Amino acid sequence: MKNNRLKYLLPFAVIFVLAGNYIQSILTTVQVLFLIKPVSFLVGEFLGVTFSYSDVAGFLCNEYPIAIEKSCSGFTFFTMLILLGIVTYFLFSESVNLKKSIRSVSLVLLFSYLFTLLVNSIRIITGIKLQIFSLAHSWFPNHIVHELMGVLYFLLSMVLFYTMVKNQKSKIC
Amino acid sequence: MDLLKKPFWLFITTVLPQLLLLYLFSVAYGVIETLLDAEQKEQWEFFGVYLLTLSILYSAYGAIQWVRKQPLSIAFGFISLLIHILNITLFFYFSNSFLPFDIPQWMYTSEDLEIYPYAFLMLGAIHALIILVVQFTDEEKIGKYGLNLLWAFCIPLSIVALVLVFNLFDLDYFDHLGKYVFLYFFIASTCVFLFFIFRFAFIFTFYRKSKNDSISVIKILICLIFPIVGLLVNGGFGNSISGGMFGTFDHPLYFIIAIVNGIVLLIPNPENKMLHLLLFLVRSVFMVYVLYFFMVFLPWLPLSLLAIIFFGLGFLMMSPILIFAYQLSAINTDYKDLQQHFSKRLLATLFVISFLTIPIGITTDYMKDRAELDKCLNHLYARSYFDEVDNDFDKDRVEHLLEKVGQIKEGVMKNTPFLDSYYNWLVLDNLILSDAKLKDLQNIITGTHYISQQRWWNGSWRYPSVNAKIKSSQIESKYDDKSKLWRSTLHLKLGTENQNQVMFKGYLRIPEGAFISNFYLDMPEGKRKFGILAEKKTANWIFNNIVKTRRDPAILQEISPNNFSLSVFPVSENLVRSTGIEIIHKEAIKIQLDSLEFNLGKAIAPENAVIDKGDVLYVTKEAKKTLKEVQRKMQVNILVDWSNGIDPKTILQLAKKVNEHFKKRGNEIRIFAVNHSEHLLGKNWENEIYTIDSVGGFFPEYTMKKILAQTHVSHSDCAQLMVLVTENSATEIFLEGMDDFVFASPDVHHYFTYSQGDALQKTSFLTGEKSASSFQEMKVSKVFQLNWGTKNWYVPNDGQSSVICKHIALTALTSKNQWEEGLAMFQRQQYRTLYPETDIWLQTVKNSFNSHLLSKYTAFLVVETEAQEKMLYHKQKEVLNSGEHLDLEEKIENMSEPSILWYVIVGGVLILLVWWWKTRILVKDLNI
Repeated sequence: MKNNRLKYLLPFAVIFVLAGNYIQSILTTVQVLFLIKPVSFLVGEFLGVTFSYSDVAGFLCNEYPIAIEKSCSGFTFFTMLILLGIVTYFLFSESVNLKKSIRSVSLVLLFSYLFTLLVNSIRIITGIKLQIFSLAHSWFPNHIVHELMGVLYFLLSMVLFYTMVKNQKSKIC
Repeated sequence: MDLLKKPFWLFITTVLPQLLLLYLFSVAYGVIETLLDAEQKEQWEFFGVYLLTLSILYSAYGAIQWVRKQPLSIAFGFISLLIHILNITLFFYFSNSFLPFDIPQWMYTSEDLEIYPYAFLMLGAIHALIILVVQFTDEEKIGKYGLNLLWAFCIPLSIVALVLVFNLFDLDYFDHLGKYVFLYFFIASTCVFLFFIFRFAFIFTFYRKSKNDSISVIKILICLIFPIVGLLVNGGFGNSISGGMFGTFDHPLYFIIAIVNGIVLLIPNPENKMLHLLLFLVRSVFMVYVLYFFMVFLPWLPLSLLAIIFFGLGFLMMSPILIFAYQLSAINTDYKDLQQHFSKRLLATLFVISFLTIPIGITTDYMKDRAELDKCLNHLYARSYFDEVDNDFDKDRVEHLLEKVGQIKEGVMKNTPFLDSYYNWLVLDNLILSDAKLKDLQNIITGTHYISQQRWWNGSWRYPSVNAKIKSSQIESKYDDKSKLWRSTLHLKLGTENQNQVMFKGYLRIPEGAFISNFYLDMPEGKRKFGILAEKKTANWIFNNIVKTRRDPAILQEISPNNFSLSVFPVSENLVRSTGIEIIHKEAIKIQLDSLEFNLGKAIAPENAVIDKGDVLYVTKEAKKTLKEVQRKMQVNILVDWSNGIDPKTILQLAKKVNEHFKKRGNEIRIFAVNHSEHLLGKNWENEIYTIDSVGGFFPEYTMKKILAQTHVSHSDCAQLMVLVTENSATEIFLEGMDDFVFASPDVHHYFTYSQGDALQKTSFLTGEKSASSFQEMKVSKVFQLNWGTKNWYVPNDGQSSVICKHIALTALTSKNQWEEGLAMFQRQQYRTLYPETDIWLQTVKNSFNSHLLSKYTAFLVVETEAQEKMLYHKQKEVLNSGEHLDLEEKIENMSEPSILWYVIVGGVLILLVWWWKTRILVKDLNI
């Protein structure tokens, strides 16, 4: 049965990823404020830095040459989490009914959002630390490390998220 | 054929387009909202809620069916079709109130906004129709499927007959029945017509096994005759009057592929498996061609009935859909037959490779165009003055691509649908190459001679035919003790005797080290509006569009270093406008507005005569008087025109004359052969020059700038004199003029052009003004020498303060003082002038925003309404985003998240690993 569901979920996943990627490409900084505003607050509080906001450049750090804007909003990660949550739910739940589905999808949305804020903030904080280090050490391949670090953070947190949703599912069902 | 009834299609064809439409309209609404009246706003909101509700209902139904594993029902097909017809009709009726005519077109976020609803909703309608076709087609009872075509064509014939009958009886009440009845009758006919056409295509595609003899005639028509005739009809049989309605498909390849593909489809499948495989591959290669035309014609489907009624050959619009269905079925049959001899995986791989052949070929060709275009653009606009780069161009390719870009620009509608957009995206990054740039490329790289345009600012400076006047002026200067700088505002009252609305345009000149920090315009109702600092291109675009609609705007922008233009609109006899410009400066300065001069600030002894701000030195007027006056050694550079179409003998004679003259004067001489590139010649230059191809246009600007940049950076004690030698001075091509480089040549203010008939002409670096000259005038003037640290700097003897960039490097802006930020911005702009390859456009725009000082790339713009302001920000965002590739290495770091590709790659590897691990465990368990 699960294999059967996978057959339906796979095209859904592909479309979801493509649509998410497309929406990400057309979004503007203002439209991802719901993601970057809390993140800049968290980062600011943690590092003790301040940000000034502009519609064009997003949140510009006043102390370091760093900007938090559309491309670092974590929107892709957010969509991937939602997808992962939904796929995991439909793949592992014993029976699917509308009421349960709506409740579970809402929970997935809420947790994906909170999880994105948390993981993205941690990623950016580490990124800024790396950036400061690379400014002092010119040999440091900041860009590659930054990118790899992002992948690592996001994938590890996705595995964690997957495990959480799966466990939650087995508890419910 | 349950595949087509899967709920999954509902999301693709209906929900996704509806959401996209909702998004696009919400963006447009955000911009024009303030210009709509209450009723229109209500309609917009109703439309939004309606569309959203529909999307939710469709999604809910789709999701329920999906979870229940049920196909979409026949009732759904009917209801969805009706809803879509209703939607399209509703939009048709309300489009005028949605997108009112009185809102200027430029305020809509996309030019195609009007057709978006039709394009997006059509997909859903077609899907609903397909569901009905699938439902009403029973494999057992197909019968003579050709009858479907007959039924389909009966419909336009019946309509024509009906109209004739109505005309015959001249029934007046037909008008009273109203256009609504007629319209719905027409829509219903279209649906029935398309139903039969789709049914025919459907049976033809999926149940072709039950073929009879008549198929051959239909096959020949569909596969060979219709496509070729269709292409010919579209091309107007070579007559451009009616040609190209659906696009320009007149390239011979379109016809060749149509013929070859037709033949390949008509050939019966051979017994030999290799030959059959070959046929399968060729059919797969051309499938993409057929798919392309299918996509091009799909949006026109509902009009096909009209096309048949009014223009008999309209049935050709059906041809791409029919051939698409047929080819798909042929490939499917081949695939199944060949599975007896080859593995599924091999066949699928071969199909994918074949299918991608044409797209890959096209992409490769486009990529080559892109590489060549990048090379040309870099050569013209971003070539380093210090590094040697490859200057070899593929002339044929450049000519071809420039022609193509020109065609895309000229086309009112897309010349070649999808392909042009793809070309635009891949080659041009969706940016429109301006006419001027296109012409520059044609003239410099390919060498088509034309009369050069005047590129200096004063060459294009035109006062309006009736210019408003400055009625009164007032200066307000305040000294800020804390930051030790003057903040002066020049208040102006502008008026005219003219009863009509006219524009005021003024030319403002301020000295180096003074910066414009604010600008205002008083609105007629008395409200003072301050200028928004905006990206320059955007600001000009908005200003010109507002002037067209005759509302209040004003713009202040830099036209060359230290020179600005001020425009205010409208001014009339009864409407005297008040405007003002705020300038920050370190000491008392003199500024000029048209012919008027104004003194700003009072003489206060500054803390230092030469102010050292780390990377920048500010030399006050007083300090200059104490400097040593020197005359630098003159080095002569002779730039010989060696472009396409010159007469070498004449040119060499002229060059020899100039050379002899300076030899006699004992000057150091360098001779360059110049076309689209430059070549420094040795002592034996008269022979050496013949080894160089005379190609491209005569483009001396780069060479002159290169010489000046190298002299400036090396602190040389030589002054550079430039003499151009050409047959006709009109052939010299300048892109931007030399005014940016005035700072690098403080002792020579002109370049000279020697041409046929002993004509010697001098051209001002600053203004581009040309005048007759003589050899005696070719000399250098005295300058002040400033010895600071270990180096010498040279500043002009002009009675004004000067700014010197001590370090020509990019450094982070750390200053909190507005004037110092201005100096830092000045240094960055000078850096950009000397190193055009490192584009800091975006950075400078952002610096300008942050420091609230006018820069080379920004403008102060005053707009009247909130909607205009919103549009400005919207357009600016577009411009700033499109310039992403202009980012600098030292840009502000974005903490970008990894791209989706990373997720796919790493996620894929992880899944494979898990799968492999699980399989291993399973195998182990089995062994146990």
